[in-house]
Amino acid sequence: MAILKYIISPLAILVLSGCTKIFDPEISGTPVLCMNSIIEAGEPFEVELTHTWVYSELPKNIHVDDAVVRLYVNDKFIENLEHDSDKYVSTYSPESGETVRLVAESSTYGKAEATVTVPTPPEYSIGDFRFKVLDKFALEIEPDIANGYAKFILSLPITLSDTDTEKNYFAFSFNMFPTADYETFDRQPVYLSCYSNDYLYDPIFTERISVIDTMSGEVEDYGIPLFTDSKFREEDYLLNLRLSDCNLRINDADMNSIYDTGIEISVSSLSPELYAFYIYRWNGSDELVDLGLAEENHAYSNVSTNAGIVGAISTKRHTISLTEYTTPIIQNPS
Amino acid sequence: MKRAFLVFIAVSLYISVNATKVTIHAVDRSAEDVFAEIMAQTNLNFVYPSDLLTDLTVTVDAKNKPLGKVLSAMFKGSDVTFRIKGDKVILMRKAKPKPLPLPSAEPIYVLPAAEPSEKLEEVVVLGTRNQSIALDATDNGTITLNNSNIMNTPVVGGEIDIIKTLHHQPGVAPGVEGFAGLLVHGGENDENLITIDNVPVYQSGHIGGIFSAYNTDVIDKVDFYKSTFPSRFDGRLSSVLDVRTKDGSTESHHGSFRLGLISGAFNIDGPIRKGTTSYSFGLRRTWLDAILAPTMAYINSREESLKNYLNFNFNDLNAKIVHRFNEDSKLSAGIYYSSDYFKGGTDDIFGTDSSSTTIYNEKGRTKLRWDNLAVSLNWTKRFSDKFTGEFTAALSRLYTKISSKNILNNNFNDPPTYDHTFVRLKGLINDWILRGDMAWHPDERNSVRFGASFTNHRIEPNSMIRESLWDQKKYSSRYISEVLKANEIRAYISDDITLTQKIRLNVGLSGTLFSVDDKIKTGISPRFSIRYLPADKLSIKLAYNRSTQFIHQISNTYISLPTDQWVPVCGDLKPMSADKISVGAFRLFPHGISLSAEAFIKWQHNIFNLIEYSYLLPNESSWISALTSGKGSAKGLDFKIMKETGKVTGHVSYSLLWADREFKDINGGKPFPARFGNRHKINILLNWRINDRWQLNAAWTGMSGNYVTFSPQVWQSPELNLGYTSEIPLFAGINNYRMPFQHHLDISSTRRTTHGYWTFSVYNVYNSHNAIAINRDYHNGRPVFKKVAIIPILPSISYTWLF
Repeated sequence: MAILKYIISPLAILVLSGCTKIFDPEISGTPVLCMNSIIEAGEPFEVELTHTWVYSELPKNIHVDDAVVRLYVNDKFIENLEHDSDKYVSTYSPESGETVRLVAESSTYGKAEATVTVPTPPEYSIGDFRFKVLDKFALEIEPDIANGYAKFILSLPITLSDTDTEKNYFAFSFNMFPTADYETFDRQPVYLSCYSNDYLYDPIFTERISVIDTMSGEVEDYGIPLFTDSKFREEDYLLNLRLSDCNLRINDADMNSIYDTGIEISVSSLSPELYAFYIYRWNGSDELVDLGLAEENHAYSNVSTNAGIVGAISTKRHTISLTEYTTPIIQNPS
Repeated sequence: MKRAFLVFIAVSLYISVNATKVTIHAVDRSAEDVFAEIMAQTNLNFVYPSDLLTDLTVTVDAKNKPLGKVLSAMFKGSDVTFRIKGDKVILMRKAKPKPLPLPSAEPIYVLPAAEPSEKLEEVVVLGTRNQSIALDATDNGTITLNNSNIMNTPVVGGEIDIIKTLHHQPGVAPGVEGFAGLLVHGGENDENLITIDNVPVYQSGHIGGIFSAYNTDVIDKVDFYKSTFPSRFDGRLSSVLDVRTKDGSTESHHGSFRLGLISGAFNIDGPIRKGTTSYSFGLRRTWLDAILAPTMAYINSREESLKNYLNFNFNDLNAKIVHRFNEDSKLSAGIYYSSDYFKGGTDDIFGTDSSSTTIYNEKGRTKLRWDNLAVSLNWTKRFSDKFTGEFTAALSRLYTKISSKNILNNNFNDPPTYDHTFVRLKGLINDWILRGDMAWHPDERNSVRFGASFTNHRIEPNSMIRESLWDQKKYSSRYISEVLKANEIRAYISDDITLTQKIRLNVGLSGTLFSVDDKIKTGISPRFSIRYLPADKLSIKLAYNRSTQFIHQISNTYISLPTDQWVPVCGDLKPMSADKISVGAFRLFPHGISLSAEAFIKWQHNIFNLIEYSYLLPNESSWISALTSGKGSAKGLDFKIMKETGKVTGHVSYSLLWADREFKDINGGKPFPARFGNRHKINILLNWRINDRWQLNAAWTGMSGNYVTFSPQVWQSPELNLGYTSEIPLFAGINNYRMPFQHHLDISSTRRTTHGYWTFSVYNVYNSHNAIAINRDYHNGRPVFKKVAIIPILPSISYTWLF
C-alpha cells in the first residue's frame, strides 16, 4: 500500500490532525508462551522461550525458564532440550527432509508447539564471472605501502535449478570479504564492500508485492532477497547478479603481501513458515493503518499460541576468490 | 388516482392566514420545492392532491408579502387554484384533472381518498407530503431528501453533502468519522447502489472519501432505500441511493455561484428554446491547488536541497439538456463527470563536491487521477393515461491512473549516469447500459411497474507497467490484468395493490442473468411488502426483500480510494445475496410530528473478504485466490421521531445494531463483529428558521465506536539476520475491540442577503477527541498505547450568490 502514502499526504494536510492521546484500552489478555527457533540443517539448534506481554507493561524479563521443551523428529521423541542461559539447546542436528516438532510446556504460561520440515538445500551453480575495474586511485604513495581505492563491477551468472514440483522458498545473500570491521576498518589493510542492490529488480525478487497490493497501486519496484521457484518450476533460472557499486579499500597495505579477497554467495532454502514470517517483517508498518484507515496485517506465526516462529533453513554457500583481481590493484593502486 | 389525495399539515394555529407573510424567490422552480419552502415559513395547514404540483414549475418573487398574493402570483396561468379557509390553505385544480403524470423515479404512492375532491375540507389532515408517503407506502426505511434537507445539515468543511446528510438517519453509519462512507444496517461500502439520473456510478468520494462526489446544487431529489428496495433496483445488498438532477428552466436563465473554504460551485440553467428546451450546467471545483501552490512555494523557499511539490484538485461537472416534444414526451441528455487529480513529489539534491558541483540530483513524481463518468440519454413517454415508459441508454465509466517516476542523475559516475524508474497503473470499469422502465395503471387498485435492462461490463483491474533503467541496465515488468467482460440482463415486475382502504400490498420479482468467464450466474430477487392501517394515523408494515450483487469491490482500506478495484463475481464464486425481513410502524401526531420504528433482520450470503494472510499471495496469483466467501447477519432497530413543519424542524433518532461476519478461513472460522457495526447510534438534528434572514442548524451525533482488530499483547520476534528483535502484535481475534463511544456537535447558520446567502458552520464544536485507531508508540521512552483522532473543531464559511 505504499502508493497510498501519496494520497494520505493531502488528507493529512486537509483535515487530519493526527491528534493522539495516551490511552488505556482496559483489556489485557492472558500471557502465553512465545517460541522462536531457526533450525539450520545439520546443526544443533536453540529455542528461545519468552512470554507475551501487554505492550504498555514491558516486564523486566520476558524469558521463560521453567519450561520443558521436547523435541520430536518424524513423530519420534528425541530429547528434552537443555536449558542454558535464556535458551533451550538441542544436541540433535536435524537433517534435510526431517520433520521437527517442538513442544514447550511451562507451569506459568502453558503449552506451545510448532512443527517444521527442514528443507533440502538449493541447487545452483555459478558460471564465469566478470570483474571490471571502473576506477582506481592512490591516496598516498609510500614505498611498498599501498593506500588507495578502487571501484569495480562484478558480474556473476547464477543458475538456479528446480527439480521438484513443490513450491520452494529461498533467500539470497552475498558477502564480500574481508569485510570492514565496524571499529577497526580504518586500520584494516584491505577490505571490500558492495552497495549494489539493483539485482533486486529481477522479477523473482518482487514477489513480496502481493496481488492485492499490486491491484491497489503498489508502485514500489524494489524487491527483497527472498524468492520462490514459481517462475521456474522444474526448470533452470538464470539470475544475473550484477554488482555495480563495489569498492576495494586499501589502508597501508603491504604491496608485497597477498590479501585473500572474495565473495561468498549464499542461497538458502527456507521452510514456508519462515518465508512467510520474513514477508510479514518486510512489509512493515503502514501509514493508513496507523490512522485507523486500513487493517493491520496479521503477524504470521506457526506456533500454536500464535506467538513466535519456528522455521528451518538449509543453506548452500559458494565462495569465489577475487584475490587474483585485487592483488594487482593493491600492488599498484595509482 | 385523481380521487387519491394526500393531505398536509403545518402546525401552530395562532397566526391567522391573512396575516401570514412569506418571502420567496424562485424562477421556474419545481412547484413542489417552492411550496415546501412556503410551508416551512408558515404555520398553516396545507391540503392538496398528491399529484397537483407534479411537473409544475412556478416563478415568484416576493419579499414579506401576504401569502394570498404570493400564491396568486405563483399559480397564475396554471390550472391550480387555492382557497383559504380558517387555518387551512386548500389547493385544487381549476378544470378537469390532468392525465397521469410522467413517470418519476419514485413509485406513485397514494393514500386512498375517502371522499372526492369536492369535499377536501373533510379529509383528515395528516402531515407533510413525506410523512404521508411514509404513512401510506408499503415499504420500510425509505427517505426522501430535497436540496433544502441537504443544505441544512452541518458537515465537515461546510461542504454540503448528500451522503453526510444520510449519516444522520438511523441505520446509516459513516464508517470512519468525517468520511463519506455509507454503511447501512451493518453492510459494507460497496453494497450501495448509487445512481444519478438512472445511471449507476462507482466512485462516490473525493480525497479518499472525505467529500462525496456530488454537487448538491444540481440535485433535485434524492431517494434513499435502506430496507425495502423497489424491484426496479437490484444489484447491491445494502441500500439504493437514487439521485435525480434538476431540469433547467424553460422560461428564463438563472443560477448561483458558491465559494467556500475548500471549493467553489457554479450553476446555471435556462431555456435553449423557450417553453420546450432547456439546459442546466453545474460545476464544482476545489481550489485547494490555489492554496497549496503558495504554501509549497513558501516551504520550499526555506530549504535549499529538498523541494516538495504537492498539487491536488477535484471537480464535479453536471450538464443536462431537456427537450419536451409535447406534454407526453420528454427527451433528456445528461452528463456527470467527477475527477480527482493529485501530483506530488520531491527534488532532492544531495552530495556536493569541493567545487560545489551537485553529485546526486533525484526527482520523484507521483500522479494519481481518477475519473467517474456517467452519460445518459433518457426518453420519457406517456403512451396513454394508464401507460408510461422511461427509456435510458447510458455509459458509466470509472477510470483510474497512477504513475510514479523517479529520476536519479549521478554526476559521481564518469560519465554521469541517468537512472530512472517508472511505474504506471491503470484501472477501468466501463458499463454500457440499455434499460426500459414502464408504469402501467390498469385500474385504481393496481400500479404495475416492469422493465428490463442490459449492461455490458468491461472491467480491467489495475494493469501495471514497471520499467527501470539502472546503471544503463534496463529492467521491465508488466502486469496486465485480464480484461473481464461481463453481460448482465435483468428484468423485473412489481405490482402495488390496494386491497382495501386499510391494506396495501407490493409484490415484485427481479431476475438477473450475469455471464462472465463463459459462465452464467443467476439471481432471483423476490420482494414483498404489506401495509396495514389500523387507525387513521398509524400504519404497520411488514416487508421481505432479497437482493443479489454480481460486482463487488476489492479494497484493503476502509475509505474510498482510486486504488479500490471493482471486480465481477468470477470463477466458482457465487453472487452475493441478502435476505432481509423488516417490520415497521409509522405514526403521525399533530404539528407535523411523526414517529417511525423499524426492526429488521438480515442474512447475507456469499459475501467476500480478503483472506487473513492475503499479503503472502504473490503478485502473479489470481486476485480471486485472495478472496474468501462467507456469510453475515445483521439485526437491529431504527427509531425516529421527526418534526417537519413549523419554524423548528428536525428529528431525533436512535439505532440499535448487531452485525456479524463469518468466514471459514478467517478468525479460525469463528464469527466476528462487523467493523462498523456501531451498536448504538443517536442523532439529533434541529433546524430553526429564526426569521426571514437567519436559519440555525445543529446536529449532534453519538455512537458506539467502531470495532477494531486490537492486540494488547505483543511477542518478541527472533533477530533473524536483521540484527534486532521487534515487538509483534499477538493476534487476539478480528474486530475484537470496540473503540470508545464517539460524539460530536456540529452547527451551521445561514444568513440570507439581497443576492444570496452566507453559510457559517463549525464541525465538532466542543472538539471531541473521537478515536478511530489505537497505535503502539512511546512516550518519554516508555511504551504506551495512543488513540488517534482525526478531526478536531473545524470552522468554515461560504457565500452563495444567486442570480
